[in-house]
Amino acid sequence: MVFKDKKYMLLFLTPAILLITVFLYYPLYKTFVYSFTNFSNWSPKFSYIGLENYKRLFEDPVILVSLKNTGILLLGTIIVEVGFALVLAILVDSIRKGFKFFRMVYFFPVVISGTAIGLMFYLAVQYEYGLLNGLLTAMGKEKIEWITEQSSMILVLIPVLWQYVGFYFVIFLTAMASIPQDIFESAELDGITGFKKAIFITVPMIWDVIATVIGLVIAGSLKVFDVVFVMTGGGPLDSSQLLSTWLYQQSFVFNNQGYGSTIAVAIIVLGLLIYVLSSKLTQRESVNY
Amino acid sequence: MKNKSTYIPEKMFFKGKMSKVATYIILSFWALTTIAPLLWVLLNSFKNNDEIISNALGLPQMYLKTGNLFTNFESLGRFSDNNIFRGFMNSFIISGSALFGILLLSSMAAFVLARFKFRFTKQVTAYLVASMLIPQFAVIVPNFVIMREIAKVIPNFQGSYMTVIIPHVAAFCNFAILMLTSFMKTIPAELEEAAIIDGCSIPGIFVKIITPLSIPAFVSVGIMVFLWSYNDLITPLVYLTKVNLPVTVLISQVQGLYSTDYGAMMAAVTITVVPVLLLYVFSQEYVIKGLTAGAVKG
Amino acid sequence: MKKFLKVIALMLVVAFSVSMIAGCGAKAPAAEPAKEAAKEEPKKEEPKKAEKIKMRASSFFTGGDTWTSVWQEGIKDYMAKNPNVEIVDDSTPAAGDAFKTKINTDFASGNEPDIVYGFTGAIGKPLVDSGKLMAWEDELAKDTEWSKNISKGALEYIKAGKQYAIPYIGFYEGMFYNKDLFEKHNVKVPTNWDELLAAVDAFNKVGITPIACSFAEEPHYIIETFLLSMGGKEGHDKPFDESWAPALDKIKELYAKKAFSKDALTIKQIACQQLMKDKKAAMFISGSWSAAALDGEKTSIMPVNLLPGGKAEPTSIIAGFSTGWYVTEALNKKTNGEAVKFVKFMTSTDRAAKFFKVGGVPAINTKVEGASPLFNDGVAMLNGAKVATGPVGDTMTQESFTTIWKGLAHVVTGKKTSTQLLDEAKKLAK
Repeated sequence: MVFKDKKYMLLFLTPAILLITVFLYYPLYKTFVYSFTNFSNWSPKFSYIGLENYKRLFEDPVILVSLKNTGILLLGTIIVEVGFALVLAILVDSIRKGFKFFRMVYFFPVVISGTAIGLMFYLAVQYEYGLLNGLLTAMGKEKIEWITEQSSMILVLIPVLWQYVGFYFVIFLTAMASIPQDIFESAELDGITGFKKAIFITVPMIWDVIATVIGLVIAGSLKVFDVVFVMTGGGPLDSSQLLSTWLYQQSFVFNNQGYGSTIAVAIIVLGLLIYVLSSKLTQRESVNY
Repeated sequence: MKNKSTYIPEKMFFKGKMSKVATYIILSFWALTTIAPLLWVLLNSFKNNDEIISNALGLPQMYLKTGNLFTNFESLGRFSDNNIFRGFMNSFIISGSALFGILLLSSMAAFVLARFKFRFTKQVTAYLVASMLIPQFAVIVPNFVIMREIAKVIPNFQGSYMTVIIPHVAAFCNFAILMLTSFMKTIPAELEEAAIIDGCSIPGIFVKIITPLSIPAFVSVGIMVFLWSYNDLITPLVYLTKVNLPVTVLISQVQGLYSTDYGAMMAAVTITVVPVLLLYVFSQEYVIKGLTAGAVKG
Repeated sequence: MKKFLKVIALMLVVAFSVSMIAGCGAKAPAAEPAKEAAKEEPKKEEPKKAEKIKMRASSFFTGGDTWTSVWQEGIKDYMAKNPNVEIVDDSTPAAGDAFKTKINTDFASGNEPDIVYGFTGAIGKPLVDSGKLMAWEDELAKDTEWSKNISKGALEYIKAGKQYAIPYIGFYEGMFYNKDLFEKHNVKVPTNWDELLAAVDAFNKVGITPIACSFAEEPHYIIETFLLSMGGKEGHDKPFDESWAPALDKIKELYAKKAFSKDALTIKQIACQQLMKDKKAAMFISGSWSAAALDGEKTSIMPVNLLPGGKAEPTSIIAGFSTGWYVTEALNKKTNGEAVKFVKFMTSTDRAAKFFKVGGVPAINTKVEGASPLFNDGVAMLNGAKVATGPVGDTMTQESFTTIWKGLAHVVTGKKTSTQLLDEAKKLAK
């Protein structure tokens, strides 16, 4: 059914679009304006300084680190998060006993706030009172400083990845349930089973969903903030700094809202670039069934 | 999931009996990672600092001996002079209203995107997708100015629940619109055609046909946005006065306090997580059904 | 249009019942639909008594903060005494920048509270710049019965052009040390650099962290005290004095000697305090606010003038007032001076006695009884100081000083030289 009545179209669409425009796009525009100013200390007295902040952006070594970390995060989420979710979904899809149990518990971390997860993991890797060091001491071994310059990014990556596997897992699982059975049956007759079946039948059949998920993952990974903020605050030595945490620190700790806005603009531009690129890469003929 | 019972053994990923064992080992391992940390936090929320180190994985003993197992939870009360229950009430008012607003506006917008012949469907979708990339922190400061303008017209606006509800509706309705649109596309058109013949108007169709049929999607999208709203920290922290703060913000402040009471921190995590976990467990069928129905056909 | 209204009404009912099904607490959404429909209608205020004066007071006295209970008690007592006044306690913890973020954004957005107990100096500058604060000069002159008990020096100290803040709890910085640990392991309490290094070695040998310090959160005090020790008051007070780089290098030297805990780069400040309290660390450079959380009997404090070749007079310390009472002018007028009355109540001598019994350096002339030995040691150090100056962080732009303290970790680990770091900060000093 296709409706054409313009009156209702406007009536129904406008409120949501208006709200998004006023409370997301207008602030974004303001942010863009602030990025050309020396807005700092929340002082209403600021002036335009041209491209100064952008010059600083390109000279800022922390930006390089956070770009690198954001890249690691992106790759990690796409490979590990989507990969794990896919494998787990294929496996859970193949069993009957415990199906509901696994489906329920895998979703647990999604329900918990990033702050709580960050706090949980922080308490686990803490030096003096942490769980891991508690276990080491119990076994008579030396305590280890877990969060170092080399390890910090990996340590924050674990909870970030772990948290959302369940979300995508459930999406894949339902997608698989909607694949018509006769396709599997005829594959079975051709002797295609197990691993081969997963690669050649299941994955192509849900490719559309995988592409959608990759889009969600990209948008999500650029916004990762709370877990990292609580666990390491971007440190030590800025080694686990992300664009989002660096934006927060510039705006709220260094109190330089002008430069903070510049980083926000960079995040959006980067996000759009990656999004366009990924949708080009994942685009392909959808399988009809 | 209706085909599950009719077609099981052949779907086995690995071959033979060993395969079943291997599958369950892998699945159980991941299940362990999702359950164990929660159990660890729950157990330790009944211990004091010394016991958290000396008896990291065992059952709580010290507080059991002294007879007051809930010491940590009681000390949470100190962290604010509003009680925690007021915090829970605030959380439910804020997130409940945000949920309501999101579902209302999103379902209307999704109806247009799914069912109308609209020249700019693609552009609007892109507009929504792009808005999902906007970081929260970029929005917070400029939104202050808007809130201030609103407050000039409406007294008592500043510091009220609405200052958080409105940004939440704006921030999460993009996701809801996209999910609901793809769900509504899967609703068969025959019903609407019949309704048109019966003389039903467009709003009538929306209210009487589309809305009831979309309830599974409403519930699942609703639970996601409710969780996001419930778990958000920064918006309520900066916009609300203390009496109106939701429980998650009150509790999150435990970590930053001038004490290193790890037991209390564990209790804090426990107390915020348990309600949403229960909420999820009791409604999970809906979450899973509707949530994915959207993405799958998207 | 009428039809449309009907539709909206119907949708309200539908969506409302959906939100009930979602199981999000029937009560909450039920209260809201009318509100949502009217979009931006104000929050419903219960119109109890129209004449009741409502005020909001912000501070960082909340949760586990030292002064939480006396602050809350003060508010309660004031309301009991003045039943027509309702004070909403809008406190946010100071740690993790939560208080700073909240108060700055409140003032930036026009949501300022009636009364603030907050930071002065560079951190308080956004409040002063907002132009919304009341200057206390008239009030101080008018009500001498009250103002005569406020330290003149403290008033002068936090003056920012005008007297926007009334000083209250002051502070000093120094090195806390666990006397019992020094005795037990037979280590001499350091009086010079070599003895400090010797103590570091001695404690490392017995598995005790020599100095607890968080480079991730608050290395401010080690920076300030070292700058003072190296450059004396002149060097410390003069931004980017040539004595600064060598002072920072001395921190690096200590780091190389493993004077700090293994997790010094990531540990939080409260955890450092805990190490000190649990006797897992021997020394801790911090301020008077930490005293209440430490062992009051067997811990003492001393100035940190240990740097070789340092210009500081040996008793010099960092001390001063970095917090105070603010009142917003317009709101004070609106409440007919009730906000000022409340501040006067809190700064009265009896009320102040309750505050300083818990800790801190009083700016109010009052008698504190039953203080711990550590508290008395602190007061003795303060009174014995021939030279005192405020922390350098208060005199620079926040961005500049943040660059220094955040960058210190890079200096001690050798990623940057101290000169490089100071040059970076200098550029942001404006």
